[in-house]
Amino acid sequence: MKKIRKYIDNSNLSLFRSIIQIIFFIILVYGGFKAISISEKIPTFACPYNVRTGGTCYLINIQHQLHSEWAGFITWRGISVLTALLTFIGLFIILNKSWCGFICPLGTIQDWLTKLRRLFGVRFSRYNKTSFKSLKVIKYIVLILLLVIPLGMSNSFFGLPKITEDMSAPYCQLCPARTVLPAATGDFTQFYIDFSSTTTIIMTTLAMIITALFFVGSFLKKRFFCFFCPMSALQFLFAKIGLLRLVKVGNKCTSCGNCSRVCDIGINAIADDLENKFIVKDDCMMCFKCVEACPENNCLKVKFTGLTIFRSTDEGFFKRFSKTKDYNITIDRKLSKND
Amino acid sequence: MIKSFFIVLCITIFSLSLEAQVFQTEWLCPYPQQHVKQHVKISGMQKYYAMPGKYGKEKFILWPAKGNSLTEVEYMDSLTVKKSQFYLFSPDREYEKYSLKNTKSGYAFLYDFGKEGYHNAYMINKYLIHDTLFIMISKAERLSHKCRNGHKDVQKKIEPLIYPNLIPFEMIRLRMKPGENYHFLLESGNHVTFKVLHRGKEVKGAEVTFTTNKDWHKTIITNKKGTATFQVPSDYFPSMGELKQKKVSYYLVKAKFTVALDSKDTNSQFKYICYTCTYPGEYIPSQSLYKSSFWAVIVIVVSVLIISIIVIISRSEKNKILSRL
Amino acid sequence: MTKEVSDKLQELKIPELKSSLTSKLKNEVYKAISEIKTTFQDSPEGMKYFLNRYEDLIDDQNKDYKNKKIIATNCIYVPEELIYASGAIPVRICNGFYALDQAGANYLPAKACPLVRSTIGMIDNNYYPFGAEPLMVVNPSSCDQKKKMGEIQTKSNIPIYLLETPPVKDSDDAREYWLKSIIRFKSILEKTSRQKITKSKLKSAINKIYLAQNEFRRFNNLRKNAGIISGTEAITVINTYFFDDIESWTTHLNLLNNELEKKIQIKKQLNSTDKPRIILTGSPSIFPNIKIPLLIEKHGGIVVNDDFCSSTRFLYDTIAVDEWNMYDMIPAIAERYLKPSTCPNLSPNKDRGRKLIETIKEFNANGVVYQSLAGCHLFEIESLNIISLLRQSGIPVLYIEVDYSPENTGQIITRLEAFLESLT
Repeated sequence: MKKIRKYIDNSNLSLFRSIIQIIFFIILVYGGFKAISISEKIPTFACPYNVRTGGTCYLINIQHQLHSEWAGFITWRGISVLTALLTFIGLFIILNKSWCGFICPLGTIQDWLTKLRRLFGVRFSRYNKTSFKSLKVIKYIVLILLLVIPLGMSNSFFGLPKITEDMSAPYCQLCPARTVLPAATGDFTQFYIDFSSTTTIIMTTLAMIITALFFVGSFLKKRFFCFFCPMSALQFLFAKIGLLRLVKVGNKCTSCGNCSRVCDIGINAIADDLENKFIVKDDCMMCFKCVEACPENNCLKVKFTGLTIFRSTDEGFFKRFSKTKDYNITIDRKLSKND
Repeated sequence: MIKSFFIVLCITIFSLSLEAQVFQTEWLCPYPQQHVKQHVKISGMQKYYAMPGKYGKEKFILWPAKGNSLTEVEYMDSLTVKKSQFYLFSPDREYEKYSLKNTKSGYAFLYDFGKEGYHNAYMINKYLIHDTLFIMISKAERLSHKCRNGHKDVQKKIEPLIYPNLIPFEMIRLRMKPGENYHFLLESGNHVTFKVLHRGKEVKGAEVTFTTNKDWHKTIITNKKGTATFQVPSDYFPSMGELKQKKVSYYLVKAKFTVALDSKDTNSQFKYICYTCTYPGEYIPSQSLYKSSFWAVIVIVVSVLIISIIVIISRSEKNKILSRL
Repeated sequence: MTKEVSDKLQELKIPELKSSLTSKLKNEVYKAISEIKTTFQDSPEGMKYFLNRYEDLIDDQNKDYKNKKIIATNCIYVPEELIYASGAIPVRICNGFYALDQAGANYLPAKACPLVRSTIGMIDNNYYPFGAEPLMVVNPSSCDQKKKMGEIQTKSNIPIYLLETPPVKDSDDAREYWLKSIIRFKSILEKTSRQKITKSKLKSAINKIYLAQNEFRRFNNLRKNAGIISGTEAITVINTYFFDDIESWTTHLNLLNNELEKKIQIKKQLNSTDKPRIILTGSPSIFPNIKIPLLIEKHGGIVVNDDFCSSTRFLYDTIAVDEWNMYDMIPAIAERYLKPSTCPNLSPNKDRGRKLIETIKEFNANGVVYQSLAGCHLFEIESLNIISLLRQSGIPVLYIEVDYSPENTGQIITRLEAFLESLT
């Protein structure tokens, strides 16, 4: 038992994560070839605009379902909204925000772009504290808009005219996954400007600009889009009840800052927060790079239903970061009573 | 003398008119005639005509019709209807020998959209003239889909189904590549391929004609794979409103193939069997009339350039600090 | 006396002085080593290497570092990774020699910090380990006395470079200031050692230090088994890192660790399990100034860990690099040397109290001895906060003022004995 724990604590989690990302990328983007469909309400991006998709993201579901009159929610439609939401929550709490870090195909594409940037030796960008605070809010604004606009299309708010049908599934029209994921299967038909009305011209032009922003941003900043993702905002509402958790023991923290230094998104709260136990913030994608980089024993822990499955250890840190190639010493330590 | 000439003339005219009658195309018409338009309306994503039913449930409708062109269409009368055979197959290959309902809008196929996928409807008529048996098969494929039922197994469900044991001669529309899905509507400019099958086997040398409801037509002989490919024409300039509404135009594909019977079969009354199959469908004006990929690429390239310039300027300050590295 | 004679006398005097200085230093080291050998009978085999290194240090014939590029450092703020990457060897010249403390009194007042005095004594007398001739001395501006010491003109011609250190670690401006300081240091290093610091060199330098840190952490963890090795010996082991070849030090510490692990596994009867476990904190005790830990351990206590910048804090914190490129390694190095630092020159220094309490918990300590060098205002002032924090947590603390002289131990012994008795 202790040997298994030691093996896991010393393992290279980043490599494991890259492999899982590739597997799920293939399933979610190319799954349709083998008629695989994981679910219709996945808590991550899996775009149905990609004909070969292996699942459908929950956001398009909720936008279509909310496109209904108020009266409709009292009937069967209300029940289907509830069941869809419960399925989403059920799928979500198993892995908590790890859906973002390990499974999301859009996240995988961003990680690959990061690898490309490393090849070229281009320096990455980081937000400073003030920009971080002010840009954080955008994902909540996007989430609120994507929930309110479909309601506004079937119902009139405060006597104002109903929103035009051209805005149906408003977030999907702007989402970079709509253009990027089908392109991964060779289908470039989602790159177009629709001139049929002013609304469509604006929406499709914005979509193209957002796709361009996605590529440039992800090239220069690690996981650029995740900072603005409404799925991340929606997930955070339920993150507290997740079964997979990231926990910090504040007393053991030496304020070395290694955790926030390796964080792709650049969350400073992991290092600075010494009081709270549950430190998953709304931007966190639970990739656990922070746990790998923490050199203090038992300071950061990954827990699944209360059981610690991965923790920060000094031995693990040195195993992952140092190389003993030219030296004839090993990093492994013998298990002793104190472990 | 004059009497016999007159009789011969009558017989000729009669037989000719019979033939003329016979060679009028038979098909399952998906759109209503003028006088019944008030009873039906277009419904659903695929823009099929439907008749409002009890408790808000709609029933989708196909009228058996005949005529020489899509514009001169005549509904079949009750006499012919009683002689014909009708089948309706659900997407799960279950079928019923169907009997037409007499509705306010005439004799029609009426069916609910239960299961997701393509429903196949057939009308079979047989005529014997001289030594040729004419088997006229009218087919229609109708897609049933409601988004709320989800989008499971799309690739499997949209594959065309054939029933060689019951339907001897068929035509299928091959699905578009890359994947076609439930939200598919044929557009002007698309290439559409039809395959002709006789008892499940591909037929080479069948005559396939594509006609539209503006009387455009083209005939192709099927190749050795049994397929014929047409490019859907755009035969008028739609207004912006019609583009937005995706105003539907109709096409009809006819396939004709004659088989000579074995000389051994002396029992039969006929030496040849002439198969005809018709397949109607809808198409909309080409989306490329208002969707442009060219402009999209321009927007992307310009955005990338502008964003890169902004980002490089904002990074230059930190670059100055790190420049000595 | 003619000028010739006086000159010759002067010629004779200087080596004479030098020889007397050298003999004084030798005496101090021998005394310390013999004290260790006599007090701790149960010494592990691996200790021999480390004690030998000190004997080599004072051996005049040993000139291992003479033809090597050496950079002398004066504080743990100096990033050693950069020095290794530039092809030089860092040698830390903070020392515990009373003779050098006295030599430095020529330049600094009597009330000044003895550590700074001994450093300037070393610089003035050109007394570097293994005949080293440093290319420069890197002097961070961490505390006032250290900073001003760099301005004093001594007999030495070695340039003293001021590494600008911020007095605060929490603000973004301070961190940026420190990063710029490190970047400037890097280019100075490249000029001084005439070798460019490249990506691969820096990576292998960081790796070398990782391995040393790993062995140190192992050693530190093993000390949780109180009594496996005495605190004085542990301090001696780590103090050899100041001047020893890093690969040799790492390998021998690895052997020592293996031996200690075996000892624990054989479950050798540790007869010191009843002894009160003490944590030392405050101004550093550097070999051969091992007066305080030695006294504690002679009188029944055992020093399980400490908070000194000369031992634990030197090798504890690690660097985490995300992308092995210069634009990430240099900021990583800068962050590591500033963020976890609990040097009292930083304000506020809340981390020091927290870490101390956590160390006490981990090592199951019974009490803390807070020592501050006479003349070190920073540790003295901070003692108020730390001691009140420890008292609030119910941990007994003893505050003592220390210096480098080997005498004046009577009062300290009395107080230590009383303290240790109160803990049992």
